[in-house]
Amino acid sequence: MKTLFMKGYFPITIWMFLSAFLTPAASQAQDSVIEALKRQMSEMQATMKKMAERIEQLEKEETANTVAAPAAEPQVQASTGSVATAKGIVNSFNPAISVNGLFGGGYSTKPETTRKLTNPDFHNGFNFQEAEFQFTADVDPYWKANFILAVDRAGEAELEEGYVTSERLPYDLLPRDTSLKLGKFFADFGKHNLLHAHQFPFINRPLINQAAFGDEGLKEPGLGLAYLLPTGWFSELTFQGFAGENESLFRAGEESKRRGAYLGHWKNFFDVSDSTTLELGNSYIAGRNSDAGHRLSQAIGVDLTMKWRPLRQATEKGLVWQNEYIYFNRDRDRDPGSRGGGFYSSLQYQFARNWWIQGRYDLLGVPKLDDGRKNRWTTLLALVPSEFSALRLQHSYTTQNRGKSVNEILLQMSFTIGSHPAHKY
Amino acid sequence: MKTLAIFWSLLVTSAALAAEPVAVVTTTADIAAIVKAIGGERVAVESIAKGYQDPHFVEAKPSFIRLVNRARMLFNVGLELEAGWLPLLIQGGRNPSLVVVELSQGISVLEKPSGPISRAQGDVHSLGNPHYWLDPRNGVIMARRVAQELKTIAAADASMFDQNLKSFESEIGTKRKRWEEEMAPFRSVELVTYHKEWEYLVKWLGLSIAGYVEDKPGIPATPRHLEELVQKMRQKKVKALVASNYTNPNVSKSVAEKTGSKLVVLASSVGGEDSIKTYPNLFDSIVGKLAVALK
Repeated sequence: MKTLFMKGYFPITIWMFLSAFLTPAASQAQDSVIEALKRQMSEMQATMKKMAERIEQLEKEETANTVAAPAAEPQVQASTGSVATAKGIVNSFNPAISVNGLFGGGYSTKPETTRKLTNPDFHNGFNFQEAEFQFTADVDPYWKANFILAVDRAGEAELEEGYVTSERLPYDLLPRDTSLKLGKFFADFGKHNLLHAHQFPFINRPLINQAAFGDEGLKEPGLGLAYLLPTGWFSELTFQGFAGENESLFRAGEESKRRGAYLGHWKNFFDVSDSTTLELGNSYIAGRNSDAGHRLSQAIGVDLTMKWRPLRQATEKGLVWQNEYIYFNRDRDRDPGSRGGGFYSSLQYQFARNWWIQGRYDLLGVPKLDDGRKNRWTTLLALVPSEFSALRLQHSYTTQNRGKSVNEILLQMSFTIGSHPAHKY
Repeated sequence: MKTLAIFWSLLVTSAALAAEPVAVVTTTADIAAIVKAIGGERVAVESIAKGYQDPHFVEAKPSFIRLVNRARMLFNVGLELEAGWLPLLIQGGRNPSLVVVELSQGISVLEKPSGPISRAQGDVHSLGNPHYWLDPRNGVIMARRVAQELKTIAAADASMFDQNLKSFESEIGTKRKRWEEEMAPFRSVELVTYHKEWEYLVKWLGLSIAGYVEDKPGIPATPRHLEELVQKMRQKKVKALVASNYTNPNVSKSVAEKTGSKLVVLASSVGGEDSIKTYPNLFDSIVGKLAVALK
């Protein structure tokens, strides 16, 4: 098994094609692009100002006109569903904006152990975890853009994701059933890695995700194609190429030492019944690390998710059983945490309209990491007043075979304002 | 020889095209029923939401992405009813030739917010109340649009669609008279409903709504709200409490018991009950149950 992982799975041609996009040559072109963008921005500002003036004028005219409009039978009245005011039209070109806040508090019996295990800047007491700003809009008929900015507790802003996706391009450059993604985004590895902090099913990420990809998850600048296979069930193949800047997996340091990485993901989805579904996925990522010798860093993952939600009580009852196993190998002889595997298995049960009860078991060290084995049992109770807010209380108990066990209690308030986000399944 | 082969392959493909019905996806079962009525055998239609399911809370399952991927045309209700799930299905569908048709065009939409709105008001729809299929007159408007749009993807069958539209319109026409006569004795009777989804039906039948079991749209009731509602219902002697069959019956039941009004559980979509197979069936069922309850 192991030797199989050592060899690159994917044809060298794909690798060369992808790495062409990741060369430093691109950065020289950037400066002139930025200049051009600045110019365009100031031009746009001027036009928008003109438009705003025109809108005000139009609105005045419109209110004058609508006063005398008579009420009418549905059959004879003209369309009203799609007629918008001038203001509405301009607003609809604005990106849909939503802001999420994560406020939390925590208590640990051994704060230092907690810092080491799950959260590097944990301390007992309250803190503002994160604020996340999301902007989404169609760029033109071909691209849809998504920006997610996160401001952490220290007030530092980071572009979590910033990418465009496309399902069609001019001259049909993109084949049917294929979508293209370009920018900086979460790598399509397994299930949990694709989630932002406010979407986590539990307050902290699984131990294995943390060990393999670090505190920030596996997000990278790059590009990818996702192809829908012509099968009798939903089956999707994804290929992505990245810069390889993950500090944990690729030990990425200076930019010039990065060698790029490539990923493959196969997702399968079955409807067992109207209320029950099953998802099965395989993921693989590999890339040369930034150390001398540029040895290969790899990770492979499998995931299995079962969901149940009775359609007649769709807002009242639900169950999610999710399992993920990841094995990673950084191929560094002297690094104690350089290879190993782990998994989590979680159960989330919605027992009433506003209530969820959840449990997760984490096991890190199958096969064993050189710095030992860790077990974590987590339970969580969530009060979810609406899809825009949630209050969650979590307890976890962690044991490790080299070190002391630790108890933690975490409380988290999540709130979202702005546009209605569509929910991924 | 070569020309013969081309001719032959053309013949085969055109024959296959003629036999193959056009794949159409709809977001709700009501639209699917209308598409079936207009398109007949020339259209293979599948609905994403089931009739016994709350259309606000459909999950964007990847299997629906497959449906969108294979469809030629997609009909939806619009007015943000499907905002929580449809965008993901269309994006995931990777189908550049898909034609998306929102059927709210031509409908006179109720409860379009005139002032500022906020989430403090619950699940308000900024474009107005989206449950417009619950007025059969709107069903006719939807059917006309469906016929018009189907012609653009299956021009050869245009006359058949026209014919089907005609018989759909006349069926609704005659049945509407009967439904209206049946409900005529109950004009301006006041009802209480669970969710804000019966406004079109109530307006059509000349009834009125005295209150809602839900505190605010999509937000479950608080005890205080229920107390006020019970008092109001006793005062006004409200005879019926209407709830769709996918809402939690417990709260509605207890309110009905406390006030002595009848709980009328209705299907709000085609397929909501096994007997409701067509769009006119939906009103057969609704009007039948309401008339019995209000007597």
